[in-house]
Amino acid sequence: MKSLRELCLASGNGENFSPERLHQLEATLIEDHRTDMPWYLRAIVAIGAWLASWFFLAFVIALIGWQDEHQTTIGCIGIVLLVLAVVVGRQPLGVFVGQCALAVSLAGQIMLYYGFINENHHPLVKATAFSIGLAVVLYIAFPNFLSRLMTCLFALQVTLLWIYTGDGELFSGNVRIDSDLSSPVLFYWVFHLAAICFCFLRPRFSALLAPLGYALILSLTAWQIENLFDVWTRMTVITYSPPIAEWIVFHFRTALTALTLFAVSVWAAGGISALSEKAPLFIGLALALTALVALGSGGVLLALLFLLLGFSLQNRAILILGLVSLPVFLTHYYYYLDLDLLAKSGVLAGSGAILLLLRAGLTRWAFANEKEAL
Amino acid sequence: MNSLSSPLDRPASIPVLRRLLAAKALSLPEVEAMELQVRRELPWKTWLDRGLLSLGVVLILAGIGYFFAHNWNHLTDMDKLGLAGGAVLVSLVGATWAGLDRFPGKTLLLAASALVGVFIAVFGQVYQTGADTYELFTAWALLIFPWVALGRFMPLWIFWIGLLNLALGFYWPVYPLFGDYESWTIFRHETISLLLLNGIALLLLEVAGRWPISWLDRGWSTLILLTATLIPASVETIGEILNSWDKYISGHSAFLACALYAAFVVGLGFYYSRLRYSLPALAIITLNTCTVLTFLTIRILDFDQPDLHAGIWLLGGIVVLAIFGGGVFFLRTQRLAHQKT
Repeated sequence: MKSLRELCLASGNGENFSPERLHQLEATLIEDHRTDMPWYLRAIVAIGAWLASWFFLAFVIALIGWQDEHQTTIGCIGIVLLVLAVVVGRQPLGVFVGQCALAVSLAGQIMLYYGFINENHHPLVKATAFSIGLAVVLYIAFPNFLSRLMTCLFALQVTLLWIYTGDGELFSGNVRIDSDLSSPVLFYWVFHLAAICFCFLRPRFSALLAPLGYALILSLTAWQIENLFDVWTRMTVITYSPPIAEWIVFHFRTALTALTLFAVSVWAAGGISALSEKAPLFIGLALALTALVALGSGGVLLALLFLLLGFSLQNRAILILGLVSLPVFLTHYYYYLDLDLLAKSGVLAGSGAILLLLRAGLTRWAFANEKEAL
Repeated sequence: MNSLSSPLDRPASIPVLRRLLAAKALSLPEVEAMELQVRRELPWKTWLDRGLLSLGVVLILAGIGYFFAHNWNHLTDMDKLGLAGGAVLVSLVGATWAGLDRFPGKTLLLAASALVGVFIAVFGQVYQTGADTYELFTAWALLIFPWVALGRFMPLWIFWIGLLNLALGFYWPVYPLFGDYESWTIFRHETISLLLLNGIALLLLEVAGRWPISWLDRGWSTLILLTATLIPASVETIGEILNSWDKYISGHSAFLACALYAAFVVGLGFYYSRLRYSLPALAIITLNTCTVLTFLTIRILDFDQPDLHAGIWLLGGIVVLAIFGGGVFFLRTQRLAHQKT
């Protein structure tokens, strides 16, 4: 792997990189390394703030009482807390004060939702606009990586709740009609995939949009895990007509994930030009993805997407998420296959053998000229 | 700063390029061109090769497991033993043929180690040995030890230590050394013995790491062993803390557990900050300590009382923030100090 200095000197014959500019780059990197926090340190800050926010929430509830007549009061306290968190959080007062502001902001957001969204009756559009609007305002007003990430994740999952509960039927005890849900669910799935690509694949706004990108990835993983346990669909009735429509709707989401995986592969290989250069490889990939879609292994495709994104972006957090989620989705897929044990045994051993054959083929033909040590 | 330690001379990476773009030190076309170059130089072949091999082997092993489950009642005893033993032999021969110094050979050795467990389970079922679960895992660990020692493969060692953990975990509930114990005593024995086992493994890894052994990984395996050591330590301490809520139980053991835990994490913190610096290891220690301190706060503020005052919640929140904030402050200080040296 080339060093940054070698890359700079190789680009444009090194004319753009005078010794002064290289020195400036070095100084920027040193300063960046000094102020930046690794992701696992950020995770500790986030866990602390998240825990503390529940204590603060409990404090307000214990002070006022958890009764409907106090709903608006709690909402107003939420606004005050949010303003306080934004004002304090914007000051360059260090990580600890930022963590306090984050905890107050999270507690404030929950109070705001409790105060101003009626759980029994909330028009979908209004509730969604409220969640997304609040997240956008806080994204702009509170320019802190963790605040942005946690606010977006919260808003994305709450919006999912609004979509599946419609105008509040969940809490009134009614079930939803599944076919009514298909359009917003599909739209929301497409939004997640497209936004992830927009946030991570284009370097232009990557720093600004990184928290949103991570929130989208976490939200999509959470959604897929929620699907495994039928969290949302258990309160819906399936009423597709003709029945093939149900199959199409079910596989459409998986197909969209496969399409995104294919697009990311093309991007990772160097763009559209790579399609013609490595046509046999991409045809093989397209066939493999089509087979996975037909088999209905949506979670596995999602984990593979994260693995590919994490590796091609050299992003350890996404790579680890992919590595952790792959066995989860793979185990779930094979465990719930509607086959007897013998057939399942054949499918498992057959899939393993296909992967080993694929590996042998790639080593022999596709990577025959590569000189990487194995 | 000399050129050897300059960040410009480290391998270029996409996150670094994007940070330079955000700092306006590089232009967008420059970053796009360099990113393309970096992505092309990524070890795609190794990544795909190892991913496909590992996944393929795991799926085939699972398929073998399902085959046994399905045909259990139809197979004769000799068939069962022959198939299980044959699978072990085939994996071993495959590992030798592929070469124990290469990744495919090592993966097959790991598969053979896993299949020994299947063989022992079949053996126990055929001959009705009446062995306890812990005996199965102990025998498994003993049988594979020779090739674990010869394999020079860190995941195999971690797998072996995992087997010992399972053996120990299943041992205490069924076969206490000195008579029957009540569940609380079994819990104590279990956590303390797991702490000792994983702690010794971590110690040996750290000692062995002083020699230049190429296959001995001191990155992720250290973190796994450190986590496996700290979890029983913190679970035991938290258990002692929460147990002291029972008014009939003296708080002395909780106090002793907290003191020992404190000494343990301080020692580990000192080692990974002064003797062998590792920020991820320090982060694991800090997160673990913060968790124990949070439970200690909950106990000291007595959240178990029926009419909890609102102020207690506020105080609890502030203390939790102080604990985690202090932890992050410690880690940042360590990082800055290490950068200066």
